[in-house]
Amino acid sequence: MKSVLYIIRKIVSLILTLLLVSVIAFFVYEIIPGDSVTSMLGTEYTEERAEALREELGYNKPIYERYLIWLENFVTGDMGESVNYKMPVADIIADKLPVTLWLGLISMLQIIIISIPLGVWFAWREHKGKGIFIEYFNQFVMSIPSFFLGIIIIYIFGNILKLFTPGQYVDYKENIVGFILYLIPATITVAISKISMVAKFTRNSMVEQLQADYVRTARSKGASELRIFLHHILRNGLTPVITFLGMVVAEVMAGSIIVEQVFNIPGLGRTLVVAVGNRDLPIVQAIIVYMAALVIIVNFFVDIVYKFIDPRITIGMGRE
Amino acid sequence: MNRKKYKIGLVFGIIITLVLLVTVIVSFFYLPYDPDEMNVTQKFQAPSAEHWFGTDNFGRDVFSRTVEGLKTTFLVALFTVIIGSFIGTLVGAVTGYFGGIIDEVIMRINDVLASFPSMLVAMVMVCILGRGPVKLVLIMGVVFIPSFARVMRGEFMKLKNRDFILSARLIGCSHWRIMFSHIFPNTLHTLLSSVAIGFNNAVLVEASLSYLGIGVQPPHASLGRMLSEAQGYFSYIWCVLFPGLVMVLMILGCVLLSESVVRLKRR
Repeated sequence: MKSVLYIIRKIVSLILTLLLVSVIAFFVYEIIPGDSVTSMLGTEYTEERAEALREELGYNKPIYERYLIWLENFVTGDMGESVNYKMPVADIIADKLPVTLWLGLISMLQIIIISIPLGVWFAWREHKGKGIFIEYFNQFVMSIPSFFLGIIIIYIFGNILKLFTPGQYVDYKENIVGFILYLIPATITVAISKISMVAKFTRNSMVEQLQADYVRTARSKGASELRIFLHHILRNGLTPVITFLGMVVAEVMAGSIIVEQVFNIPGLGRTLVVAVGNRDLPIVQAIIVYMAALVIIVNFFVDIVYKFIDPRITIGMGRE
Repeated sequence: MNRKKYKIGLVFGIIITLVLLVTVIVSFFYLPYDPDEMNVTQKFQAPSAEHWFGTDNFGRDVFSRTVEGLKTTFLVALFTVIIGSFIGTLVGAVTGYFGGIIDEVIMRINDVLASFPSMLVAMVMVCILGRGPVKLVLIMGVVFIPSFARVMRGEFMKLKNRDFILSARLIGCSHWRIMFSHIFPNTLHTLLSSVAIGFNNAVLVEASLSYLGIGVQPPHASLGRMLSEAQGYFSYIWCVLFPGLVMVLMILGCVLLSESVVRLKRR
C-alpha cells in the first residue's frame, strides 16, 4: 500500500515538474526582445498587416490560452517551424534524436560498467590504508574539460595512430555498425570524466559505511575483512550510487552537446549550438524541452527503482 | 594519514591557484607580446625561448594569448560567482528562514532549474538575450543562483531552530538581524566551499560556451575559443596543448582547494 502511494506521489510530482518545464519553455519564448510579427513582415510592415497576422497566429488571445494551445500542439508533435531551415521542428528533431540517444546510451553503459568496480576498488584500497596517488590522478582526470580531452583523443588516436578517421561521419540510417564505431571515441570522451566522478562518489559512499556500527558488529563476530567488505559494506554503499547515476544522465546530456561539436557528429547538441548561434528559437525550445523531459523521466525511474532496492525510503523521505 | 593526505591537496591547490592568480595580476601590466598582434612571417613557430608556447596560424604568440584568455576566464568566473553567491544567499536566507508557501514555490522552480546542467540554461539565455561580455557575466551569474540558493537554504533551515537563535528571538531581535548577524556568520565555511565549487563550474561553463562560439566573442582572447580555433590545425599541437593545460590547472587548483578545506573542516 505504502509503495503504491509512493509511486502515485512520484507520478504526480513528475507531471508537475514536466508542466513547469513547459511553462518555463513557453515563457522563454514570450519574453524575447523584439516582436516576431514585425520581423516576419520585414519591409512589408504596415499596421493593418501586422494586426491581421497577429490575429492569424493567435497572438491576440490571452497568454494562458496561448500556452494551452502551444502545449497541445507540442504534445501532438507540432512544434512550429524552424526560422532558419524553414522545416518543421519535429522533423529536424526526429532526425537528430537517435544520434544523441545512441551517444548518451553508449556513454552511460561505459560509465556504469567501469566506474562502479573502480570506485569499489578505491574504497578497498582506502580500507587497507594504501596510497593516495591514484585518487589525485582521478581528481586530475575529472578536471579535464571534455572538449580538450576530445581534441587530444582525436590527435592521438586519429591523427597519429590512425585508428579512426576524424570527421568522416557515418549515417545511422545507412550503416549502423559504422555509425556506432564512429561514435566510440566520442563516447569515451564523454564518459571519462564522469567515470572519475562516479568512481569517487562510489568510493566516498562506501568509505562512509566503514565507520558504521554494523561493521563493528560484524568484525566482533569474527567475520573476515573481505567478507565484511563484500557482504556488508558493498550493498549499503552502492545504493546511493544509483541516485547519483540518475544525476549523471543530465551531465552526459550536457557533455554530448560539446562532444558532438568536437567530433563533428550531427546530433541534437550540434543542432542546438547552431540554433543558439542563429537565435532559431523554436528549435532551441523544442530541444530544451526534450532534454529536460528525458532527464526528469530518467530520474523518476531512478527514484522508483531506488524505492524497491532500499525499502527504508518511505513517503515523505523522497526529497532532501 | 587522512589529514596528511588532504593537507598535501591543500598545499597543491594553494600553489596552483596562487601561480595562476599572480599570472593574471601581472598580465594587467606586462605581457611579452600583444596577444592580438599578427605576424605572418612567424606563423606556426614551435615553442622556443622567444615564444614560450609557440605561435599560432596568424603568428600570434600563444603564451600571451593563453595568459590573456586565462584573465578573461578568470574575470568572468569571478563576477559570476559574486553575482550568484550574493543573490543566492539572499534567496536561500529568505526561503530557508521563513519557509512556507514562498519557500515551496521558489524551491520547486529552483529544483527544475538545478536539474538542468548549468551549460544548457546558459545556452538558452544566450539565445534569448544575445551575446556580449557583460551579458555573459550576467547570464552566468543568474544561472548559478539556484545552486547557491539551495545550499544556503539548507544551512539557514538547519540553524534557525538552534538555541542561540531562539534566545536572539527572545530578546527581541528583528528577523533581518537574526538572519544576517546571527545565522549568516555561521554559514560562512559552507558558503566559501560552494564559492570554490561554483568558481570551478563557472570556469568550465565559460570555457565550454566560448569553445562552442557562443561565449566570449572576438577580439577578446579566451581559452575555450583558442581550442576551437586550433582544432583547424591539429598538427601544431602546442596551440591546443597549452591553453588546454592551463584550463585543467585552473580547475584542478580550485577542486583541490575546496575539497581539502571541506575535509579538513569536517574532521
